[in-house]
Amino acid sequence: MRYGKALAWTLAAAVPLIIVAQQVEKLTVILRNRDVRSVTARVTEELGPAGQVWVDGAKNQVTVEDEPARLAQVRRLLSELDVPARRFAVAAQLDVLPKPDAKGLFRPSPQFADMTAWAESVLPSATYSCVLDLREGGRASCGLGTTYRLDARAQGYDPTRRRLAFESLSLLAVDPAGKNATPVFQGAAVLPVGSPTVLLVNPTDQTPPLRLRATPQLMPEIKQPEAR
Amino acid sequence: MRIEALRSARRPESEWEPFMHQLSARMARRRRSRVLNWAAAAALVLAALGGLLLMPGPKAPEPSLRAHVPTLSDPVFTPSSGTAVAVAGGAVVILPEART
Repeated sequence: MRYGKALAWTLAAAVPLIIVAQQVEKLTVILRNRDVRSVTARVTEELGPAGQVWVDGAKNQVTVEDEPARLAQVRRLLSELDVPARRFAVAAQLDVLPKPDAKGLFRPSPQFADMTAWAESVLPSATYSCVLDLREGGRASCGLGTTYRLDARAQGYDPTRRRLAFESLSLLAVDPAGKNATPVFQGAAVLPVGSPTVLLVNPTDQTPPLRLRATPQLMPEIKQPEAR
Repeated sequence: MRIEALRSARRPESEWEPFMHQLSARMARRRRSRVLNWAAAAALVLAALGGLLLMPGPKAPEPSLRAHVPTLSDPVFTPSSGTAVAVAGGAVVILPEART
């Protein structure tokens, strides 16, 4: 009987505590600089098991329901994301590697591990570099020597993880006249900002093995340039 | 004398019925028009309220940026043709499609 009473008291004390612990709050934010649909996927990554997201496309508004601690993270993330388009400088360095010896360690086959090991030790026959100047949502292009060109179309930047998305990043081989451009590779990319990403391109009959090192850097916004 | 005068001024019995008909018709007309006026006023007020309710709220300015913010599930490189393989050290090897 005494145990029953103790259990009843414990339950009576625990139930309100459990209810308070499971409380969720709502946060509604109208974005001013960015389409709400472009951030929804990223916002859902911050949610807990009880989290929910509603999007109002007409008002460009996002409503998030979750525990208060997670809501604070979402609020901080949204305030960092909802800014005018940032500007980036993408430093690109292209190493043209010599055609490998067919009898050597490297075999131009899907056994890419050979390529990575071989590419580390080999000296490039030519090196070109250029810098892409582009904003989020913008596109830019720069020439790597007279034979190659790098085209990029930027998407959004995640300031929390410092990663910049590219809707398309393509390296093109251009003929000396500059009329025809053949894609060496073309695709979507997500690159870390501030550190280089190495893209090794297996050789084909038309192109030698290539090593592209791309390093995006976030540029500061200069609102009032110094008068000279 | 006065009663006589009043009696003479009274309408004859034959005139009472059409007079009452006219009177009731005029009252019904007035009642009808009053109902119609109220209905029109109420419809006007309701339309105004409905318009206010249906009117879109303060609209956010058109956002300039529709660019997708990357998530953790986005790979480093997704080629539109050929294959890309991420290898140790963060490098990506691109295996282009053999062109003929």
